[in-house]
Amino acid sequence: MTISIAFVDDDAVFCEFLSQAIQAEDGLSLHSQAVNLATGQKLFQQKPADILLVDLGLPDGSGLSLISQARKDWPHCQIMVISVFGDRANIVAAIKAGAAGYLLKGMDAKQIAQEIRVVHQGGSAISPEIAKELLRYVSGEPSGQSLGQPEPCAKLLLSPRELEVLVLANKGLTYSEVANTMGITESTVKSFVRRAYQKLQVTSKTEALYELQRSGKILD
Amino acid sequence: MNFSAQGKSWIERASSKAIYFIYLFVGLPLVLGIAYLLLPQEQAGASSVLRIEQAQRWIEPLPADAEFTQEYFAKLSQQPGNFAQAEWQTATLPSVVELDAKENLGEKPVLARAWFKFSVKPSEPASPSNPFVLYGTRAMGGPYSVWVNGQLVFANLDDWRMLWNKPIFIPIPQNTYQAGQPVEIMLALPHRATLGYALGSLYLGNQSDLMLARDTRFVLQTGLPLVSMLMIGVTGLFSLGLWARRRHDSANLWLFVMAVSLIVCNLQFTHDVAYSAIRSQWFGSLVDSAISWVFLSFFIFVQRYVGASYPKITALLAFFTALNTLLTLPIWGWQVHAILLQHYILLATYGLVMILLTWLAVSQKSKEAIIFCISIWIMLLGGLHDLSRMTSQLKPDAIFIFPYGAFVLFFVAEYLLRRRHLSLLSQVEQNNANLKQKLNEQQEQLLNQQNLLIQAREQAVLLAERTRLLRDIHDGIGSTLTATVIHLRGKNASPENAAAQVQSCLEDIRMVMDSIEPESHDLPTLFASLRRRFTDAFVAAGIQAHWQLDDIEQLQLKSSGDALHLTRIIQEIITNCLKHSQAKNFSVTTCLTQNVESQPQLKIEFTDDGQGFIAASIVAASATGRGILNVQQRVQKMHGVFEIQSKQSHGVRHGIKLPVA
Repeated sequence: MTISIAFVDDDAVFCEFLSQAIQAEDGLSLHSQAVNLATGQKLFQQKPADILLVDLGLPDGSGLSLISQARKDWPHCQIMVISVFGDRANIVAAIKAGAAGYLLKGMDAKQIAQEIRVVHQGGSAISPEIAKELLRYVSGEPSGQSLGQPEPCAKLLLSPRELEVLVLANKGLTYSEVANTMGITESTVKSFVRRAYQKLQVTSKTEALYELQRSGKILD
Repeated sequence: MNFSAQGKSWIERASSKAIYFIYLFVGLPLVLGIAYLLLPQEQAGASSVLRIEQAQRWIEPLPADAEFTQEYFAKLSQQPGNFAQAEWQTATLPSVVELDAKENLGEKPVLARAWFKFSVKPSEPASPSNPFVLYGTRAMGGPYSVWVNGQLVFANLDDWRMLWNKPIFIPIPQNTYQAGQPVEIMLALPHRATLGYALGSLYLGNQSDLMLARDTRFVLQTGLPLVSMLMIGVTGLFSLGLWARRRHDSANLWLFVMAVSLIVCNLQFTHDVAYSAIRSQWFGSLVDSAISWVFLSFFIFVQRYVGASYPKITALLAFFTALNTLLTLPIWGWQVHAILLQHYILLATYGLVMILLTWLAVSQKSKEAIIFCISIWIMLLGGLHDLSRMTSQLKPDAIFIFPYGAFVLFFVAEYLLRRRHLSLLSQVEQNNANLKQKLNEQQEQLLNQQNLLIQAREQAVLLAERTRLLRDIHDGIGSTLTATVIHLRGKNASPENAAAQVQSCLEDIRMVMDSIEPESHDLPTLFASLRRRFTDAFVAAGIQAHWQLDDIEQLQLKSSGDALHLTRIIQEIITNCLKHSQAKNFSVTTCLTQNVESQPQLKIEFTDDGQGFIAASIVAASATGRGILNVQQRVQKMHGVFEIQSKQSHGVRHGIKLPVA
């Protein structure tokens, strides 16, 4: 059972590389692709793909809207965001919108396939910086940007295991090190991360709704 | 000094000018006009009033034991003169013997009694309720007595020392004459021979016709001066009250002194408060000296009010006033005579002073000062009038003008007080408005400054960030890409190596981007990121990595640029270890200590158990050598200490001590 993959990216070189990588790999198949937001939105008229890869920096808008739309139109599709640097700000924004993981454009084909498989199996990748950010949400600190307004945040409630995973990830441990420390498998570690991401998505949705209510845009 | 009022509305200006005019050009002439219009021609119209044009006069010398005392006059008035030896002369009325200013006085005054005899023939008898009255303007010299047909009808010595300023009003008793028969009336006026006498115009008529003249004269000679004393007294008390609260405002005190002097001075026209000859002399000298006190205190008051100061002139006048007071005390023999002389000298002195003051006031264009000068000139002129006509006994029918000076001064003082009061009020309002405006301006300024400060802070933060980012890019990505280019151009160019290097650049950029937030440079994440990055490389190189990070949870580096340095330092050390050490274990330990100055310090140690190196070979221009030098430079930039120890086959130990916050 192959994993069908759709992706939206305006970088022609990378798109070429990606489609070749998918086709070269067993178990992965190309579902569809698009080069900008407008054509990307049309993808949802087709039947769902298993994985959706979205580039945030599209020429006619941010890919975040595609992520939210995918959550609605393709509920069982898992979304990954394509990032050049994997910087925390973009990744966390994508996670809040509903992404389950991320790909770096610098990864080789094998790494890309690996990451896709991890996500397809219900896990998620994390870095020390992303873990740090999530821990801030757990303690209720605003993730202030240096010169702008702090975003509104609600407390992120995690189970003790999920929290432990984040703490160890924040220390720079690899998945295997975390698994060894906690006495679980690596894929369990990654599924804990995924659960943490999902809770973050819910929390940020609730917060957004609350903000809209407060500003009077939604009447109770 | 500028006294002109600014910013008054036209109503205020007009009304203040109007009052000014009313006071000076209407009120005063009105009073003077009434005085002069009414009196000398009194009752010219009434037919029943007979003006006595002429009388027979005989000046009877009195014996040497005569004294100018009440007891003597009481006896004298009972005695008619020795008419057998009288030499009667015709004299017109008013009849005066002028008071000589220059003649000296002996020890005892020589007295004489002037007899005036005239007869009238009343056409009809008068009724008891409206008797005939002998009315005269005044009799100066001593207490007079009146005889009708040889009978003494008036010898009242009550308040006899003030008789010189009171009209003569003697009802003729009915039992002293018969209708149709001529009536012989005699008036005896005792006086000091050397000082002369003055008898004003005499009239005979019904009481009802002459009452008005008497009452008018009473009001103008006694009543109004009393009123003026009251008014100036009230003003003086008010000023004293003001001064009592504001001692430095001495103008008010001198106004009080002037008011008191005026009251004392004007007393001479209304009352004789002494009931004995001695006290009367003292009182007399006092009230006369009071005139010079009035001028002196007014002069000082003007100086204080205006704020100018003429100490020399003031001292001179004070000296003159003191001298004047002393010399006219009744302890010297020439006291009575000096009075007239003193007045003339006084007038002359103050006349000169007034010329000076007037010139100053006009040249300064000060409204208040000009008003002062006008009022003093009025008083001086009034004094001159009184001296020349009254005190000298020249014109007994006139009235004394000088006491009315108190009214002038009262109006002037009231005008000044009101003006000052109003100007103070408007000053306060002006000050309040100014303060309010200043406050608003300052508030605005403060807000502006606050905004500027906020902006400046934001700019500073932005600038620091920009600088840091530029350095990050230059040091990390710049140097790596340069190395990649060089590698690719080299003989042993391998795409894989190049790709790895470029990937490492991407990782660098990611770290830079993640470090945008200033608070994100906490030490744990810094170490964690490096650990995560190099874990796989350690595994690939077969090295066990041990990370023992104690005490770094709450620590912060001294500045945000230090995080980059530390990252590069650790990168360099780890890279060296990966490439050259061939170690089995690599450990990183941290702990918090204190330096020699008891400042907090972070100690980091990197130890491996590899092949080590000989110190000499490090110095050689090798890539490793350059790397270690770089580390040293960076540690120095962070104000830290770096040491490196190695022995061949015994591994390498890097030690770094960094100041922390």
